[in-house]
Amino acid sequence: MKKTIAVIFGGRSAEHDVSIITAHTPIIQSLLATGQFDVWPIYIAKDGSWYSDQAMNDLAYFTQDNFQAYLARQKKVQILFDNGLKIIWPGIRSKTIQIDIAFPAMHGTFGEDGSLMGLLRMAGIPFVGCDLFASAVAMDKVLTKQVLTAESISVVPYVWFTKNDWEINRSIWIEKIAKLNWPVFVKPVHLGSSIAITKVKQNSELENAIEVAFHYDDKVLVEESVENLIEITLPIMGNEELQLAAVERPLNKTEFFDFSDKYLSGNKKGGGANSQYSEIPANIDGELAKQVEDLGKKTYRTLGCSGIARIDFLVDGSSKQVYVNEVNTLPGSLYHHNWKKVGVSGVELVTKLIAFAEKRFVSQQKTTYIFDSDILKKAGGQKIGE
Amino acid sequence: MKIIVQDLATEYQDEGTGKVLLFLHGWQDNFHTFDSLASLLSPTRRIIRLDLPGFGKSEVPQEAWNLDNYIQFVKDFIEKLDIQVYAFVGHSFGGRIVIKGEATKNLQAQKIILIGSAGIAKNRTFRNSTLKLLAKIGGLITYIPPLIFWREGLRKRMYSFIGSDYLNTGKLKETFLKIISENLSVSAKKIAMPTLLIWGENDTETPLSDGKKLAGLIVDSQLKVIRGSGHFVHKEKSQEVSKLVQEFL
Repeated sequence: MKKTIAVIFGGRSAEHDVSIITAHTPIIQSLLATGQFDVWPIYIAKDGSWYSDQAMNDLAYFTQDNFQAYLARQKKVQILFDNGLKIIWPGIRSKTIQIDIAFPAMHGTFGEDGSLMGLLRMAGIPFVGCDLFASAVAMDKVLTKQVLTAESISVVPYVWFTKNDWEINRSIWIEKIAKLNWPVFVKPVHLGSSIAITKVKQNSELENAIEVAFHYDDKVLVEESVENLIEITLPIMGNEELQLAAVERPLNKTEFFDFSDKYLSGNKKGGGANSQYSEIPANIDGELAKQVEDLGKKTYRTLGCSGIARIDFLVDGSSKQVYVNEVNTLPGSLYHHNWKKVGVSGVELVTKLIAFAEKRFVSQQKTTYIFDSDILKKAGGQKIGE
Repeated sequence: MKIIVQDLATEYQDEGTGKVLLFLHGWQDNFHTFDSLASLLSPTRRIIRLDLPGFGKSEVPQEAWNLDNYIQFVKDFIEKLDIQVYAFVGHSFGGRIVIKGEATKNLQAQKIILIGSAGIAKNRTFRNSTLKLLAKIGGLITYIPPLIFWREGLRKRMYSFIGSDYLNTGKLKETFLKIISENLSVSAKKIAMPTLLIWGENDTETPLSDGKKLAGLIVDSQLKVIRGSGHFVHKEKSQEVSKLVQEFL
């Protein structure tokens, strides 16, 4: 019998639309191509409603003009999380589907930050990609830097503060930022896909940039920019044994890798990160590539990643100093364009990721979480029935 | 890049140095409509363009806006950027903002350039208000069975009759109705600044007759007609438009 797999995407995040693309290209398309799975798309709309209909396995469902009108006619589903994951279509002709494996494809808030992984852990089913802890740390650019620094992995110098810190006393932070090497990047700490990131070259632009970042987040990071920058990214997969994709160099046509470069430019069909603006493998010397690969593996393990992740690096072109910039636990479209270059097809990629998910699940099952205890008997007060 | 104005994340572009020209795009459009014109003008001017709320990469206002809301927004945007606008360049709906903004002294510049500007179509006011009424009635009666079953189909037919602007307006439907209900003839009369009107000869959205009317209403104005082009004359004939703008400034 075919395994039932739920691909979960959409969500209440700024990356809602990108998530739809990732879910379809390559995930759902490749899962269907294997012929081994009964694929159920679970789509979370921007308003937080959950829907599931196999018509949504087709990306065209979401690109049609009157998509919202179609959606309005869809019946919302209920999800049951006790002892496995079940999708329930309520009503007179109610239907229930039991899910064997979940494939989260939600970027950003609630999806990539560990929230969804928490739900799936509680449901007790295997799920693809990083677990809750790695996801939560990787989602916070500051926390990532703090964890990596503790393991002596180089990160670019930075200053961080919360909205409250900023409102109480701006001048402290402006002073600290002034001590960084300019220009600086101002970033919301939790957002992916370069949304609301500003490169600030002069003082007069700083406060507006910080205000923009706080429009999307309550924690902001200001970091130095790297001279003669070479951006490098490296997708990695595996649990204990790691497999590396090609060392990739995104080539920017604008000031920095922004949202549309990353997902849209040159590829109207939305095949995820777009290869036209990337060099795969990166044309860098062998020693540097080796350093990136080693640092990538160390970072992956330090954060406790499993399944798949992508590590982004910043390299100073003249000093060849390599910094780890951030970790993405759900690379857009799984970076399948890069995996293809190292001979991993979309079908192979999703099949491997599912195997990693099952393996991790089995090993987690072996961990004992429940203890018999007599603590309740010892608790004070009169016992019922006494 | 982005800036927060009235708590709305607003996408804008600021390029070149010199006197500031602020560009306002049309309905259902975005600031990229001025890409080629901006690249022709930015070597000698500072070109600032923004995606108006609800369009391009700017956030959508929570409530339905009217023209005055947009004017106030542009005013706040200018204050936030701390700039002195030398000239406004408004296309279509952007022209409405400039005309009423200048007339009410909320927006102030030395010169004004209006390209295929909306706001004057007197003969359409009746059509517009009739359509508004029809849309409201249609919206209500199609809730009654059995019409409710055909509601979507009927709506689509109605919209395709009204025109693509309305059909594609989505969330901004109310805003659109509020905006087209204003005739700006009175406002145009109040404009004292030197004004350049640029019109495409074959403009079907805001026909040349609108341009002529505006030229009659605005005291210190000159109308330049570009042959063989339509409503998006600044895109179709950006070289010619740029030349006219340079001469005028």
